[in-house]
Amino acid sequence: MIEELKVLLLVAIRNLALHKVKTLVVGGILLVGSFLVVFGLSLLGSIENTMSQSIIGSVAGHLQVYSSNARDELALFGSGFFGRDDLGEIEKFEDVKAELLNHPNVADVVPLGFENAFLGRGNLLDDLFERFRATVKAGAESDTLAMVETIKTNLKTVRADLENELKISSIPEDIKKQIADVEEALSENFWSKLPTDPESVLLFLESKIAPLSGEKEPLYLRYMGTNPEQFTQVFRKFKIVSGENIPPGERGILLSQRIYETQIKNIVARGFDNLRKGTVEQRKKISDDVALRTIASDLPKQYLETLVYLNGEQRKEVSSSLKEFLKTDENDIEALMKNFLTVDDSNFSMRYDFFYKIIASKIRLYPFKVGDTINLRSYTRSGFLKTVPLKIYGTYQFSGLESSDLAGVFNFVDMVSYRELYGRMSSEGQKELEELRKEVDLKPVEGASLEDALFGSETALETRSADSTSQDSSSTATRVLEFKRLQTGSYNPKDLNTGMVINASILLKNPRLLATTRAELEQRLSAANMQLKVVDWKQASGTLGQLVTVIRAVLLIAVGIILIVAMAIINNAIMMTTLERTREIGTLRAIGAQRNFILRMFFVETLTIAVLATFLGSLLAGILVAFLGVRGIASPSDFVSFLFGGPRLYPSLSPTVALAAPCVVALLALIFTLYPAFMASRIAPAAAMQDRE
Amino acid sequence: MSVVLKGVIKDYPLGASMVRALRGIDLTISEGEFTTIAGPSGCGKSTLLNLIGCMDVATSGTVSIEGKVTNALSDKEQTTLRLNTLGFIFQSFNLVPVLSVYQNVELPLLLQGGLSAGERSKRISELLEQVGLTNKAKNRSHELSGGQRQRVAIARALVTQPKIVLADEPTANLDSETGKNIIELMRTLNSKQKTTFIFSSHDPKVIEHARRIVRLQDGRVIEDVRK
Ligand SMILES: Nc1ncnc2c1ncn2[C@@H]1O[C@H](COP(=O)(O)OP(=O)(O)OP(=O)(O)O)[C@@H](O)[C@H]1O
Ligand SMILES: [Mg+2]
Repeated sequence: MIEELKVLLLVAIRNLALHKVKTLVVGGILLVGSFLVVFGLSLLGSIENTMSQSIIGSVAGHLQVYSSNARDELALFGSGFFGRDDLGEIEKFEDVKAELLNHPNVADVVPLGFENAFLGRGNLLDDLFERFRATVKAGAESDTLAMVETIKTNLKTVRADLENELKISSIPEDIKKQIADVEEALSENFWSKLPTDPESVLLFLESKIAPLSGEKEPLYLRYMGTNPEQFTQVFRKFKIVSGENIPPGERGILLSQRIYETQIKNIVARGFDNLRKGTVEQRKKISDDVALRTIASDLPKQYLETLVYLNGEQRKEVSSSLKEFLKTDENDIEALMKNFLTVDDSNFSMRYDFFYKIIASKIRLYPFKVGDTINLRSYTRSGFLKTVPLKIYGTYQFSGLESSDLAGVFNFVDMVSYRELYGRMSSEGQKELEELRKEVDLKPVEGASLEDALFGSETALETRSADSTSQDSSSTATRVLEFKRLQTGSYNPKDLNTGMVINASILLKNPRLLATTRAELEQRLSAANMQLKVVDWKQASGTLGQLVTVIRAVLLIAVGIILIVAMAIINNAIMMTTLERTREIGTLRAIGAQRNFILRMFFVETLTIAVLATFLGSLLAGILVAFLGVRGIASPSDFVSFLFGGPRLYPSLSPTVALAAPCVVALLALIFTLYPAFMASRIAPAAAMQDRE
Repeated sequence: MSVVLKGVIKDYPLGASMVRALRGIDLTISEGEFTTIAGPSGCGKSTLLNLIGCMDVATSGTVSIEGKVTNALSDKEQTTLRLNTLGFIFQSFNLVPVLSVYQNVELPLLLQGGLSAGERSKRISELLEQVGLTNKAKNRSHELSGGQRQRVAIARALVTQPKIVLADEPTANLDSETGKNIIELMRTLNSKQKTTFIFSSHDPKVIEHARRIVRLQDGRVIEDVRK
């Protein structure tokens, strides 16, 4: 037996050497095949690993629990569109948490709830008039005069817009009246009243003119309610960038550093940032790249976003610096600024430096900063617009995922404020409401929730809780209900972990037991009569989590097709040599070799080349992966950074894949040797007599 | 009796019709005989040897080898018979090109199994000495002359100590001098080991070495003489 194997091996090796072309084709295909499989699967495995860390380590945890009454599936990273999902509610988080913690593999449970809010950004004129009022009050004449110029420039733009609108409007009377107001505000007569009767000037501007400029597009924010302190402890990737975490018992918001930089920052500065990223980091040319060209061509149109922030002194400074920088005789600051913002590949980097050195320090780069309070507005579940003022405690990012829009999609708020925006009251809130109800002397309400009764039955469109910082009192169409808090802005920290939440992240002690733990938890919950479902991080992350599964399927199908084609070629190559070897095989049969022996001969031959080639392929893939594991693969985009868990992917080889893949490929090769080998074993002994040496 | 043929007819399909290669052969060959099948081209020599060599089956009639009727044997049984009882020498030598002289001769022993490496080595060395190729044991077949190759083939045919050695035109690819030597070698081995030799040839110079000449024509035995 062993002797026979020896001779088979010898024949195999000699034959492989004899039929070099066939050997090279078959060996090459097997080598490339196993290389691709090992390399592809290793890369994918690594991505799955980093991506799971990104997802698990940022918000998802290992498992997510939410109501089984949910109409939509939980999709932490979005289900593909910016809509509002119905995920049901977890009524008593404390009970669910206790039940889950009974399981020996559960390390922690973090309450969550996410929602979309918007942030009114006010309008440009509101902003301007607010500062004008302050300037007038301060009394410096030169500043006031400079500001009047700015206001007039803005008014001209408003007039131009209105005149355009007039052409297409269905209510020309209203617009004509508005134009008349603007004309009034532009007249010398109007401004001559300023020294004597500043209040009438200011009021006219604030009440008649300001509404004409229209709201700036509101900023949409995705926010996540949680227990901030617990969240930081559990999700280690979470890092405060500026400011501090929301302290327990305080209302507040942590803004995503990414959103702060890419959506909240002054639009002109953002334009400069994006162009710099494109030209310096990605080495693209403004003239070649459509996206960059669009940013560049928009920039001069946004010149007002810089000028409105300058006072008289600053206007003079900026205009003389610009004159010098641009080497022109132009005196008009608007023309200068437009000229300056017209950037191209040759002048961009100088202008970028100039912008940040000279202009940025004088304008308001961010509309709000850490420490400010913003009004977060969101629709409650019952459909009412609710505003909650929240102090910005800081900005955060997930380490390694700084440049990822996906990881930075959430802004965190304390769970209590979340519930309020959602339309649920804390225990104290309930009490306040109760008192308020007594104050306004409403009849006791039966059945429906208090809040719905309060706000739903009336014409109230907007409810406002807390008070301190809001100043806008202009809106008359909105009936505002205000009520005082017992302790303004604060609450009992215990409330974070009790009451309603939407979903919760479950962190496991041993993530390897994820699947079984998930099933066990679901069982426990249903045994405890809680209508909840538990899903793993992959499912919970929405389309994103399935991405790797999809990529893997595509890869396997692609590799499958390549392998089938490769195997067909191998099959063919073996058939060809079989034909060439008919006489040799006939001879072997004639001198007493059984059919089995011929079969074995072919298998040993294929096996020899397959083992050599596939393990070499696997080895080469291993070396490449090891090399990339040290050097890293640069992420081509922000989205991929999220998958990579950082700016570079450091892939690692899976030993199972490195060993199993060549075995599978070799096995396939053997399977595809079956038919030619069978054909060869059918060759008649008389073929030995064929005339051909 | 070594080989007994009774009323053997062999038809080959040729297109839609049949070619009758053998038209009723009755032939008995005893143990140790040194027999030539002679006759012009196309008379059926190869066909006859193939039937005796269990490489083909008669259309009718019976072929018995060492008392065993081969017609009804399975492929596996026929192969076993070829391996253990028969030895083959081919016109074109048919050595396995990738193997050395020694390995070529060893091959049937490996197919048989059973002998230790030492026993095999002893037997192969003896045979190589008898065919005069002791110093070529390690060479590959393409390094040998035609005569040398045929001697390797003879050694290979004899290594399993078969009862019957069949050779279809063993000298056709050799010059007449070498051919003569090969036939003499076969004759020597035949007389030493009592192995039955049956070979075909249409070369008169070769035929004259035979002890018994069976002459065929058109698929029939027309002459059977013993010297
Ligand atoms: N496989 C085959 N198929 C069809 N006809 C065949 C086949 N083998 C032999 N024949 C025919 O059978 C007859 C006998 O052929 P065979 O090869 O036995 O003659 P031979 O005496 O060996 O001739 P040669 O001296 O040329 O080798 C011939 O007519 C030949 O054409
Ligand atoms: Mg012939």
